[in-house]
Amino acid sequence: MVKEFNLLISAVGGQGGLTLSRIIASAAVKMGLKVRVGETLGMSQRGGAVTSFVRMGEDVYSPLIPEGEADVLIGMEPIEALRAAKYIGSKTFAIVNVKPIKPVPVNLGLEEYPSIEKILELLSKLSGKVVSFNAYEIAKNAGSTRVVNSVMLGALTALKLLPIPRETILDTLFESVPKGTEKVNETAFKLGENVAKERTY
Amino acid sequence: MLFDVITSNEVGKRVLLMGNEAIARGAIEAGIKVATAYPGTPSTEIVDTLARVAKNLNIHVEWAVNEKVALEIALGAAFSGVRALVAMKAPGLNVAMDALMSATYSGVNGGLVIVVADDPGPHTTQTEQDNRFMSKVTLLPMLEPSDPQEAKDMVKEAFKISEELHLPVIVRTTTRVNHTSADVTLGEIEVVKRESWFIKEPMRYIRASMAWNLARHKWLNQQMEKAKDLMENLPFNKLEMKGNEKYGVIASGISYTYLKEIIKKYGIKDVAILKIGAINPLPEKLIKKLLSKVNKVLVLEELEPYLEFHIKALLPDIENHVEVLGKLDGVTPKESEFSPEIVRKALEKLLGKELKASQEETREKILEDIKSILPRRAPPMCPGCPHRPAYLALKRAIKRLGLKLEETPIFGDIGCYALSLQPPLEAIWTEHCMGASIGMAAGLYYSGSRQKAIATIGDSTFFHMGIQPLIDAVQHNADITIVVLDNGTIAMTGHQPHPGSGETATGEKVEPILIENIAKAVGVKFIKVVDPYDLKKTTEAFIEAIKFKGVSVVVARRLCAILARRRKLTGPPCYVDPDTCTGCRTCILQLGCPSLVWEGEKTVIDSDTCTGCGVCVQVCPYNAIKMGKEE
Repeated sequence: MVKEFNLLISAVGGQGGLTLSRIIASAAVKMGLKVRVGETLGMSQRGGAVTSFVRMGEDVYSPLIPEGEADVLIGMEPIEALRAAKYIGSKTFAIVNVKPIKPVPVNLGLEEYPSIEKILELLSKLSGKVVSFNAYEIAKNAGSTRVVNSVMLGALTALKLLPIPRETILDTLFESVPKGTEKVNETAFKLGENVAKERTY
Repeated sequence: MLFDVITSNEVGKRVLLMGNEAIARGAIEAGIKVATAYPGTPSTEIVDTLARVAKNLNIHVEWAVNEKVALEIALGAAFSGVRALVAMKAPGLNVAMDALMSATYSGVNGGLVIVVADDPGPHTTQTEQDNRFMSKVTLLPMLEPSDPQEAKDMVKEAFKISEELHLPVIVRTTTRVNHTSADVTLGEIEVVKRESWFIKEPMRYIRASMAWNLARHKWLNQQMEKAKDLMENLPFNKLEMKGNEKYGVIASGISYTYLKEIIKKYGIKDVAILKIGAINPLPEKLIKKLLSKVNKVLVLEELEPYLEFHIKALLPDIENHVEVLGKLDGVTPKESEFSPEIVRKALEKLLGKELKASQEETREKILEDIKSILPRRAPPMCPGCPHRPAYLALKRAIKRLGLKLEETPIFGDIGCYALSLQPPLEAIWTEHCMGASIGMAAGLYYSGSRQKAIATIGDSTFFHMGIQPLIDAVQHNADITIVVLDNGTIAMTGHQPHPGSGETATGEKVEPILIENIAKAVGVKFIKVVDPYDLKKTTEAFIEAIKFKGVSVVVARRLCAILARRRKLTGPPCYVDPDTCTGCRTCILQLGCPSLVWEGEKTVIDSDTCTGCGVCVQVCPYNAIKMGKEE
């Protein structure tokens, strides 16, 4: 029986981070797991920082992950991965999309976007397990830049980090995406699985 | 899929529900007939969810123009014997208070449940108002859940309590319950078959007789005496005590979940726990039972020391000496929300020993390094947002009139357009409460200031509370300019319809109520409607409006870009001709549109997010930005 499993998704509004958290949580409920998803919603604007805590297991009561205790971090954007730093600890496996989405203050020249190398270096200091790839390019190859979340889900599944079998995840993915987009999401998912396998072996 | 789950008759089925969906389900299980609200984070999804299934369940669900109207609608239904739910964010209760206070003397016949969603954090609310104290102002029963399952069960139970006491019942939630999703076990949907019928009882419903008011005040206090036992015995209060513990913790709401987890994680044995779900009246017997057995008690509650005050007031009744830890001695903070860390540290104080964090302290340095290089990412106005060119045009108009931007107040209001506070627009000077921009602008004028006062207000905010100050300004001939930013929807909370949208919460098409018609009807002499995507015409309209002596109204009308995209009304993305772009960055510096990306030497347009609005095309001094071509 799963005692406590903590997954954190950090994304930019509009990337599909909330859809991803919903898919994983729904799959966990199907497995009979106790589930808590912590999110702060309610700004429909695109482009803000969005964090989801997906937690499952017998000992889980609250929606927030204690500092340093994420088992998995899905960073859908490099600096957003870094923004989740306080939840990363030695046990965290970080899966990071390296395609930046520049915040407005950076475009205005008011702030600087750190280099990807620097971001990954800092993440590695907190957790030894970091796998990174350009999920945006992979999604594009799959047929749509809107399926970055399915690429990340594929990578997560291939790494066998979730206490949920692949079949259940795929079924839930198909139930959750808009009708007619199952194929492109499946392709993205599989490409995500492949890249995670390549990068970790 | 959600549609089926929310109305499912499968009792005992476990489904993933957000707290707000669980609250909606609780209302459905209680057989409500009417549900109403004004959208407000973190409460919005309650009525959003009910609106989706309203037709199927044959219930009336609507977005009211404001919280006071919402409550009055629910009262009308509850007077007639049917069950009604009304939901609001924390400041919404302030708007509804007038209606609520009189309702406490009238009482209800059908159950009336008022869900009030507070926002410790704060995540999306102007203040961290702790509405638990409102139960003491209204003298009404109040409950507070700690997770989605309890939220559902509590709402269902609240209808029964409301009918038993003939009083409205408040369910107070916090963001971390409203917006947490969890596995929830569905209960039975009650079939409540009642004829709506209002019976004349002047003493109850008329507040014009002082003798009746006095009598009803006494009645209210009697009902709340009856409420004591009822609330004490609810399953939402839970004492976990063997009797030999040295320490006690009294917790309510989300704090209880952090507590449970830490107790389990550190294997803490010597602590008795009282979980409180009844906020008013409090379960005094249970509190006293705990206090009489331990010698040190920690009170865990977010925001104000509501529980702590009451617990301390009970101490003279306790024979043994009990030390109470909480807010008054600074053990827990009075601001923001709790976290597992805050609760762990508070428990350390209670137990007088260290509960070691799982992470070594060497991380602190790395976390500091990260903080120092991390760019902010506050939510910007969306690509294609019509508010962006509206504010740019307003700033241009002010400058063209020879006025100084830093001396010309732009009063702001509540909605997406408040994001104009960010660079590069940095437009609004104020943002207080719904509709305040117009009254404040008029106040500046009446005070004799030489500054030109401009109010900017959203369409739904105008309907909510902007019409009355407009009437006031017209009556007193205030020389102010009012810009109504009309994007056809209540955008910030997720695109709920308003009276100008031409449809209802449940999708019925209705005649849109036009803002310019309201302005005309109340006697505004200068009214113009412009498309903010046309920068030149919009700027000219603002210039004329500001020059006009008296109240001038400009409606800047253009559909919200997110809705436009959803309805496939957006154009192909614009693009930058790299040979013509000089890298002057004017487009970014004037607009700050997230689709305008600075690539070191030139601007590039992100074709994934650009909606082709063409505003940057009008801003570029070198004609380097082109409208996209249809493929």
